[in-house]
Amino acid sequence: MKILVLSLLRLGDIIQQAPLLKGLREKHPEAEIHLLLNRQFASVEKVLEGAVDRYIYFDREALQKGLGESSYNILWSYTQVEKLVGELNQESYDVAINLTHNKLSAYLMGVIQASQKRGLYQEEGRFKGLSNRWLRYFNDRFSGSQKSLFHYVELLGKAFDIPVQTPLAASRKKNKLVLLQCLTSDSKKNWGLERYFDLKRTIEVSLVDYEVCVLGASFERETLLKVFSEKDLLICDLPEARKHLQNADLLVTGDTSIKHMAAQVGTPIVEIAVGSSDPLKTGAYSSQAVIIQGEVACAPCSHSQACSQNSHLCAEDVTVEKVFAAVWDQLSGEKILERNLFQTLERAVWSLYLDKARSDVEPFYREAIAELLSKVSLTALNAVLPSWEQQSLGYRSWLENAKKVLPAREVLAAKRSFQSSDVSELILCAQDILKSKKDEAGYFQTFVEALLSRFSQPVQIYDRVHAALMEIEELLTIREAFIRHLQSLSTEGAYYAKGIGQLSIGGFEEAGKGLQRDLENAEL
Amino acid sequence: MSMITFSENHESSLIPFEEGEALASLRDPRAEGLKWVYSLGTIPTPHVVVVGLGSGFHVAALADIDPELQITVVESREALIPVFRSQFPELEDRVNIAVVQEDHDLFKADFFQDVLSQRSYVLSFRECWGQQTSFFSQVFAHLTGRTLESVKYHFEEFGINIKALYLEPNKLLSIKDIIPVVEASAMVEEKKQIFRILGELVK
Repeated sequence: MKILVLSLLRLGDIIQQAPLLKGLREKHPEAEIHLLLNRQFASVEKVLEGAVDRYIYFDREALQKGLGESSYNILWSYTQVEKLVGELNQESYDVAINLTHNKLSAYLMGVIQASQKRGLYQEEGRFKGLSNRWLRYFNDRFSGSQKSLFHYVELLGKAFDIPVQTPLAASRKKNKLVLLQCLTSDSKKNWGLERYFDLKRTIEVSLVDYEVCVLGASFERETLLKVFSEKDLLICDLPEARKHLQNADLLVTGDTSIKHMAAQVGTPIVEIAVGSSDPLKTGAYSSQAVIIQGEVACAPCSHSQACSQNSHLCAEDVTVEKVFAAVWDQLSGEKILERNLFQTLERAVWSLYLDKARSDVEPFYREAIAELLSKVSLTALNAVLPSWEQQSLGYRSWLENAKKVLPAREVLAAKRSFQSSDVSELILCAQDILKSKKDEAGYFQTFVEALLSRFSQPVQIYDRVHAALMEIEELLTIREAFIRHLQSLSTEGAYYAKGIGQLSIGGFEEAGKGLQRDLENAEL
Repeated sequence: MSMITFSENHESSLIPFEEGEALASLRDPRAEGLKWVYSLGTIPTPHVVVVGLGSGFHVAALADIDPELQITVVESREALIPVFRSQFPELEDRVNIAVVQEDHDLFKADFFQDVLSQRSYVLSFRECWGQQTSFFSQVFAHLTGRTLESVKYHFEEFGINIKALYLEPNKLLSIKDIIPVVEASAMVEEKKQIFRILGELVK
């Protein structure tokens, strides 16, 4: 079996995808795996450790040069891409997997001949390949600024059915070494060299047996020397950085490729996510990472735009004291705060929905509950269930309202032109949802996006909104059923405690109803 | 046609002048040529076209730095050629010189087929263009496929609908101008797809 993987993003993304490549190797130990990546990141070969058999390069910089400089023939870059496609097609791949998920990679996937294409590709003028719900979720949440409940690596693993392991804590010799990776690829994402300098001093004064060194690439030396002295610096390439990380007790970093490498070698991380860094999308995929974010309204900002504030507010909001507290917790082995319970519950609901191949398939509640209980205690669950159920009622009321105010298809089909006043009540409904800021998990995102889309025919808006509402209906049905299962579980738990024994969740035949709580009547 | 004269410098090299304007450095034409070659960086194609012969020192430097490179020089001032050949006899077989008087004659020249098939890299040594700047600029743009007239030759194999091409006067074409035309043309989907990839690279 021959597999081609397209990874045409930046260095950090490729390093971040290493668990996926390793998972792919584990799943197909006999397969020949080729990785297509940007030539400028060829150095990543040294850190991908046997997951890939052959590296093929997409010379993005040369192609852009060929397109931009007047000395090049207007078709020089065309010829280069054509040659690359020819070479790829000589390989007769069985499977091509697109981990990149942008238009460029979709077009490239479109011309690659492979028996099976997985992920986004363009064919016959249409984008295809969003073959499962996980991929569609990935496409929806990662193509814009929408929040995702799942980490990038986790999502891709689910989308492509690749087993991904969260890197485990490495058993390491204590070297009493803390590394700082101060500079990122974007000045907006830098916390500030002076703050790192203060942090270094604070660690050295408070934890006298710890040494603090500053990691950097050779091109960063000059900038780092403006604040740090030569003896503080560890200037190195990627493989050397990996060795330093293996020897370190902790890495304090911004949103960099180094943090993904630290995650892979099991080094604990304190990540300072400022500027456009979005930890849910690009945070280190590690159980040992603590992420500190600036809590300001404008964060995270857009990648492509410069900081719109007079000063770097998000970085200013993250104090040296706050970072040092996280460093202290990490070094002293204090338990990292449990992930937000609400988010864990939402992830469980969405996983149930996304795991379904079709809407008529019954979700795997039993497995989801077992997984949930492996992460959180029943007591903690019982404490949040009532407010979570309350949220469901709110969502249900939004949904019913939207269904009620959606004009009939026939009404819209009869219209020659479309005006926003035709769906004004739907727009008001969407505004209410947005203003409430209560839909953090994004149940109504597709509904809101449907209203923001452009249509040539009025009936198209009906189809899009109707499909979105059907999706929300399915999600809310799962959410409500999941709550009922959890409530039954806690009721069963209470009976077990009283020694009554297990009762059927489905209820007694003679009673004609289950043991689910009746909100109107507290009696069983 | 402008008047070409020659003057011997302190190294006994012949330096050409056009209407009194030197077409190379009088003091050190060799160093000037070398400096130009070093500024070029990596040359991406095995065949290059140099627009402008002038004194030829820059061409000699180019031939010297890459012995495998096939070089064609485009020149309109024929008087320069015998002096170049006598000063650099060793380049007789290395450097092909094409004389082009009118810019549209270029499309009929033999070497133009090589330019099309090899997507040749085109170099300009502006110091030797003298009074011909406007003419050589046009030649340069034709050779790289960035003029409306040259598009039909460069894109002949694709059968694109040239009529769909909109170009502002005096503007050099880029791939961005071509992509909408490609989309509007009947062309093999795979080729269109490659143009779409290029479109993403210039976004």
